[in-house]
Amino acid sequence: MLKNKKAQVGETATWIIATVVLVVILIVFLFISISLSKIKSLKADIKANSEDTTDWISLKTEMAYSINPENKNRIELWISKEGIHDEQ
Amino acid sequence: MDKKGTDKILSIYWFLILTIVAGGIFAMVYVFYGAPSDVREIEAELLAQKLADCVSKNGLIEENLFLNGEFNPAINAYFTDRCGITFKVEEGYGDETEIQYLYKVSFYDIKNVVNPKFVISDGNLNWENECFIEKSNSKDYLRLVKCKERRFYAVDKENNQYLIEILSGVGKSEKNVKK
Repeated sequence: MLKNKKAQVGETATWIIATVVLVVILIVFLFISISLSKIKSLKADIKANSEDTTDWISLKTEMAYSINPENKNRIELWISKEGIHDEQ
Repeated sequence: MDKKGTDKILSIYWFLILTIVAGGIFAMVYVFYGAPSDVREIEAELLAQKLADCVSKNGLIEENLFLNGEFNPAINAYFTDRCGITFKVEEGYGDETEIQYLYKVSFYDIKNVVNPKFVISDGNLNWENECFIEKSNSKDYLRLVKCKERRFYAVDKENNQYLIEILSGVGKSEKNVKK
């Protein structure tokens, strides 16, 4: 009788611990979801057309070069400094 | 305890666990997909693209920006309409009280890349300084305006070279940022 009771206590303790572990895992995942939901953002990657890999704005500069290619290095240097550095 | 009683308790326990797991999954999905996605960066990029198309086509600056060989200052008054840009926002998010967009198109002479020769701007220019604040993931910073700066090169019909800088910004934090 006593041996049987001991086995029952051991089994119950296992289930309680398993439940606690499960709840903890769920809480951790819930916090991860909350954190990710706060920083959900979509980044821009707009191409000149769907098959092309050229940036739409680079295409504009390339077309202007075909009309007047003078000072190319100077122009490229100026363009390379674009951006307001607000990326997260 | 008899076997029948143990089975009954175990069934209740399993049902409880199932409910907890289902509830947890529901909460995770609800929290994640219930939060708004911040699409302002894409919107600012599209605004810049629209402005660039309005300023230059095939490498040439649009002729109607000029008057007698010089930039036409009057263009500022109707440039937004001419480009087909409206500053209307979706209703019901609380962003309707003030203009949620800004843009600034600066034309630099190739010989002077410090001071722009001509500037066209419109929208809520009070937010322009916010564009240059380095952002972090903190809640206050996320609510600041999202901006894009794009640069390109174009020539006028007399073959004069111009460097063009477009700054576009989108506010709309009520719709895009979680409260």
